[in-house]
Amino acid sequence: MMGSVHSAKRWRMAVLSAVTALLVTGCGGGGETGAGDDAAVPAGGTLRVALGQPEADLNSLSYKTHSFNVLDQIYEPLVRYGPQGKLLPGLAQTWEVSSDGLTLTFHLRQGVTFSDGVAFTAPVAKTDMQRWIGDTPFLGISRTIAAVDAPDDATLVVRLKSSYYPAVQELTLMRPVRFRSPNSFDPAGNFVKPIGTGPFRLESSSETEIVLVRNDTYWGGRPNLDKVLFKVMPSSQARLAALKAGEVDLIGGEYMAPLAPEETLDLRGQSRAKVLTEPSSTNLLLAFNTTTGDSALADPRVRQAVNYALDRRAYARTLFHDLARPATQVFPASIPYAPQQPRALDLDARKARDLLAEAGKSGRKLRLILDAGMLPQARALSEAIQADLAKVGIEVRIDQLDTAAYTEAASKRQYDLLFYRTYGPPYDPFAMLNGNFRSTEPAFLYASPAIDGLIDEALAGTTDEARAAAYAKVWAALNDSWAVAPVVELPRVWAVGAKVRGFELGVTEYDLPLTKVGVVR
Amino acid sequence: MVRRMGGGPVAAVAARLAEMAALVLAISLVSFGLLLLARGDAATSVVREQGGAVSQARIEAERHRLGLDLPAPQRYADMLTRAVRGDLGNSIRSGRPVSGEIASRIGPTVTLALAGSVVAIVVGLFVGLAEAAARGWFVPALLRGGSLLLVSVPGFALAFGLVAQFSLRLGWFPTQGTDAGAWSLALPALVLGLPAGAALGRVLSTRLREVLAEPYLVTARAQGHSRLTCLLRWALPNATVTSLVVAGNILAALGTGTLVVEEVFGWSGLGSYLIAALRYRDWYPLNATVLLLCVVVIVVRGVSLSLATLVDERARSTP
Repeated sequence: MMGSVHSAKRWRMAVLSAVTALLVTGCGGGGETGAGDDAAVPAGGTLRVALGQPEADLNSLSYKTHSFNVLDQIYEPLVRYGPQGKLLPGLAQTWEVSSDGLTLTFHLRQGVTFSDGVAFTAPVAKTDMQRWIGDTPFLGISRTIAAVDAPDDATLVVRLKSSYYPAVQELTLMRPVRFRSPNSFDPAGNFVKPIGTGPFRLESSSETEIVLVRNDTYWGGRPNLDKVLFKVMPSSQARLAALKAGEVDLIGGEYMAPLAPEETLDLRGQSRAKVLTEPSSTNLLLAFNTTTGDSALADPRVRQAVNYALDRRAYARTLFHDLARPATQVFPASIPYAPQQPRALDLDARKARDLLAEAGKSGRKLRLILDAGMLPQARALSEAIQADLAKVGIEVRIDQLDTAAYTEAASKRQYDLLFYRTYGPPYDPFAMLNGNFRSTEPAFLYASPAIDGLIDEALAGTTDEARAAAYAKVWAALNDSWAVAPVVELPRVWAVGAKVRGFELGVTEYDLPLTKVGVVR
Repeated sequence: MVRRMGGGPVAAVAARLAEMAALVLAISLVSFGLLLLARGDAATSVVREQGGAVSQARIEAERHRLGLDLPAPQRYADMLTRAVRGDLGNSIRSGRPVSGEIASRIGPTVTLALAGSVVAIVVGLFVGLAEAAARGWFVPALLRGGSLLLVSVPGFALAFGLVAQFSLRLGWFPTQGTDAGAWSLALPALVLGLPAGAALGRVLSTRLREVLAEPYLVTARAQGHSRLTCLLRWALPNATVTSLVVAGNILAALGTGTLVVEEVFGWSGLGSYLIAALRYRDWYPLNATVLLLCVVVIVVRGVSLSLATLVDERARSTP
């Protein structure tokens, strides 16, 4: 089945097609966001995609599901998140927001059907939305919607209890907002089958693979691929080997089959696969427990000292192989309303020592809790930070825990320091601020009543200018109080096999646009 | 170990079964206790998975919903009474019955363990006999060094080494998965079987050399029987007795050795199921898998001990 002659031949073919691709596109190496040229996309075929963990039930209503890139093939939202946070039409062709921000009117795309033939109409959409409205307290839109109306088949009116500008943006999310066919549920309302309006539909699903086939009735034109096969591969090393051996065509993605920057070194300068990277959409933050942690952390000068003690450039260079960049703000600049200018936070150990001496807080011992599974470099990074903080007189003890134990410690606020990753688009900045920088959220990273008020002002802003002005005040308040220590802007890292044509990264890590992709066999 | 105290074979079997049941109960109690001591529970995992800010209020609400706020003895007793009725409970992670999930994952693990055992026995016999039969110092030293290396190398390192050589460089086998039938099985079986076979070979060769030095075999050699004849005809059956007991232990350990292999080669078996359940603090699947693996270990060791008893008269009097 896998004889050496056979695969030698396949290998030669792969090299040949890769060379052709290089000649045609005139480019090589990593660093691009697309692969191949659209003109040469072969019709049909199967794309094999690595998936890091098995999927429970592909229910976009359930928070147990985490294979967002699979769900993206099956289910669609009213609105899509576009580049720089621009909102684009999805199942809604146009929409209006009333001047008081309380009424959202969506004009639905006509002629859309679910893959089981049921028409997607306003009454169907309304029924589906009512499955989650009010049920998901930590999701802003779930608690803010007062009512949904369907005055006719093509119009959906959403009324809010209070002005909440992220409402439209939250409708771009994966769960629970994407639409399911009425036939996805049994008469008692239990989810039984994943049926959506997306370009592919589910054929079969098991612990080892998920098979999707083309939805021939897709409203957006006939998808090119016959099939998309998601293969479960828990080990990132094994995924890399499978890509190199041509057994899968696509790996990487934060929520799909994560690929570490050092693993990309293995793929550089060779023809069988290509690394695709995009600048950051999420930041890695070092957060301080200012309430129940070491008392020194309540002093802003100590938090400022930690900020100056970190050698962010060295972390980005040595631990992330220059795929990450030093972070100096809470959010990267690509997030809507995020600060566009970096802060001057270069390593300054002398300044850090002086600040600690001034605060009378030298020689402190801090406990950093660490879930090593959050990031491949988490352990190495925490040791680098430990060494840098030791140089300014702060001793750090690293307490490595597994995910459940870490979550327990973090939620009980039993730590001095921890790493936190911003959520990334389409959640940021509002969801991150709502969940982690409000004094009403017990697990906050940093909070003050003043910042609470500023966040409220930004979220209720009915014009772009009002929101931008309010957010600017939020950033200033967070920075002035040295709320967190931004560490690095984390890159998006994917790798695609040489046989894949027409693939481009989605706008967010949740998306996986595959309708125009083809595979050379 | 069970001693035979005048009773017939039925009593012996009954005693061994009772011992097994007590052991299984003790192990389930210990693993339940360890899970209680661990930080975080399934409610923590559920809330974490949901995303958003993880607060104690959310965790406690989930704990109540899952019934994890009931007293521990009550939960344990509930599990036991269910288990006696043949209900292994539901997985909190997936919401599906544990019995069904285990049934679908038992095949890959059994396949891996059996294939690993075959490799282990073949390699063990070869290494053991070759080392005992070889003359001079070079070949035995080479074999000993090689086995020592195989026993010492961590499973995942051996796995990636084999993948790099045989999948990526030579293209003989797929890097992972189960799609290519027997070809898919080759590398995982080697990763499991090579270290076990090396260990087995070491035990066998040591025992063979001891037996070869015994007076009756020295006499046989003096009578003109070749070294190979002595080795195969008299020494091997003799050495097999002790080796069988060790082999039982080593092969029983293969059942747990599949944990790493399943993860690396992407096989959906009991090992990866156990790891996922442990990470999630998912009590019912964890308990059922641990108990199943324990029963397998106990049975394999029991069988190897019984075989040894059958082969050697002496083992019956000395347990």
